[in-house]
Amino acid sequence: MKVLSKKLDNIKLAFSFFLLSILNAIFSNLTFKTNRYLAEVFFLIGTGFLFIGIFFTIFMVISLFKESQNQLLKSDSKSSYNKNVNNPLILQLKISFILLLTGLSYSGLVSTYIVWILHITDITSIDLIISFTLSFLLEIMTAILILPRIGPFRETRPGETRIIKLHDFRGGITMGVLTLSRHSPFKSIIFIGDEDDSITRTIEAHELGHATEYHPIFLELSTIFLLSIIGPLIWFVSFGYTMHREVISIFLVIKTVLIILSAGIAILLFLRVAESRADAFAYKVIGKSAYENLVEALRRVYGENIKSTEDAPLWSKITHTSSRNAIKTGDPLSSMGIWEFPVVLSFIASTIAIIRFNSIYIIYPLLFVGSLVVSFLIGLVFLPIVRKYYRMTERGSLNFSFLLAGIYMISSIIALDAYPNLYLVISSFLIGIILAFIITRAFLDLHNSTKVVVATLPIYLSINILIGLIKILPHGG
Amino acid sequence: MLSDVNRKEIFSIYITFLLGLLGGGIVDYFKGFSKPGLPICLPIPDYQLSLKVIEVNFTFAIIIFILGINRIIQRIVILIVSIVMGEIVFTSGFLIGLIGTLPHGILELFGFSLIAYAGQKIRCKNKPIMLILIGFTLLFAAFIESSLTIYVLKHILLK
Repeated sequence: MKVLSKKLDNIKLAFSFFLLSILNAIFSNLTFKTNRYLAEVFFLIGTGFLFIGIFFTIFMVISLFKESQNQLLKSDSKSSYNKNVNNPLILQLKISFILLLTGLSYSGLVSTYIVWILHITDITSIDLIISFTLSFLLEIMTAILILPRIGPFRETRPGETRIIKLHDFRGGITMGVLTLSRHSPFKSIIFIGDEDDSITRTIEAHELGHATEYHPIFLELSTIFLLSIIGPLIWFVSFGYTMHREVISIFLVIKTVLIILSAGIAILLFLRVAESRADAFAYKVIGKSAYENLVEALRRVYGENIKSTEDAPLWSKITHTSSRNAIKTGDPLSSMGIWEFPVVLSFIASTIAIIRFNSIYIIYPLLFVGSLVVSFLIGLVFLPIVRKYYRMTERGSLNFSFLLAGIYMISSIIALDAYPNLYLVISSFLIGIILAFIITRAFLDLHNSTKVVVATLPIYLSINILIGLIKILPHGG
Repeated sequence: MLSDVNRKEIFSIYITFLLGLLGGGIVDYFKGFSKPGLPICLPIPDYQLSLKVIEVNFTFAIIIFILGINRIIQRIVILIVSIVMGEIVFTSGFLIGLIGTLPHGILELFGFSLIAYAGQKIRCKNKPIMLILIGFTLLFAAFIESSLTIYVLKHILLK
């Protein structure tokens, strides 16, 4: 009862502070025309209340996380486990909290500098890009300096993948941070249970797959990237629409929101690919029994009702894919649905393409459908070549083919955005090709990846030239 | 030959087209309908328009046929294209939009639905052929569009 009343108190407190901040925003808006000074005072008070509300919300989330973590543990070891310094969930929360706090603070500082000190009254895309870059660099710097000094990362040497075995811990978590060292820029920790059976070995192999390919580091970088875009947007919108300090067009806000959405779904796709790659790694280490062990591990965590990976909770299916074919076949792309790469990459491509347009109404869905159809059809054209070099499952070949087609399409759309600056067009297209090669290299060896890129790129270019000629020639050049 | 056809699937594709068109109309409704302009004087039946419609319809039919390899992508494309079409068609109001689409639309959408379904069954030997043949109703739809639809529209807009 005590816990419940405490929780209710926290909810009430958070709610009342949010309400106070909303009231202050309303007062600020009402008094803006008559008394600008008073409006600013109300706004600042409201911001203060908002931060206090956020603090209580975070406090509540932490207590909820603690509770869910307690459910994962056996009842007799709850108290000892909570006091354990090597608590992965608490460590994860600490890292997320630091990233969130630094992200919002740095973007706030940068935006304030632009609005108050540089006195820029009309926010353009260039201002957004500058504030994004500055926040990103500052946050990366802070992450490199602070995160390697938190909890068990302090005792981990740079370049080391430390395995921490915890008593009564079900499942596994891999964490990684960037660090400043001449030995290696990464530190990784794997948390797994201390039982010595085939199921724990399968989990360990899966987590080792994450650690050897530095997936947590990529995730850390992408989180920082996302926060660096969200932060300045929030600040500029609040400065513009609540304090009326500057003007930011609603069109620019929508474009930035689209970029945030694209980055978000791209990160989700990366997460799914990373999990599939870790599954494929586990298959290579453990062999054919890996899938059965995985189902048993899921049963331990989520209950006896789990008969296959499809029965796992929704969140697990979203992040880890539902079929988890990679752990049955060893092909990292066999777990992904055929529609995933075309849909996500077309969304990103259409977001990049819309940057140059002055309207998104109707054009954006048309661009999305256009890129979806084009990437899908080009993927089908690439399929016979890709199948020859990929040499794994049929679904994996299809997905790899769509991935390649999507990357080419994105690189050519970036190049089109750079038009009429010819040097920029050529350099952005070259960067796109290099990116395609790097991504291909992640799935194939050097020899085969070179062959795939060399074989598919001319096809892509010739299709583009052909379409161009068909469109231009009937209109008399 | 058509006993194995999943009629529910064809119907659901048809419904997707209709829902998309309606969605486009709703977008127009919230945006505000514009006044219809005076009709351009076209010869009735307009065979040039008929050929143009056949070209456009067959391009779209080929695309959705190939996209049938993956049902989700096919549905996304059908839905978004029909929303955009609905937005264009219902610019001057629901009634004019319906008059402009109904005479040929019923057959046209039926043809597209059959071809989309045939695309899903591309790997079944001999099964899609009949569907594709029926999908040629698109030719009739193009003829109706270039003769009946523009005739009806012209007379209503002149009134």
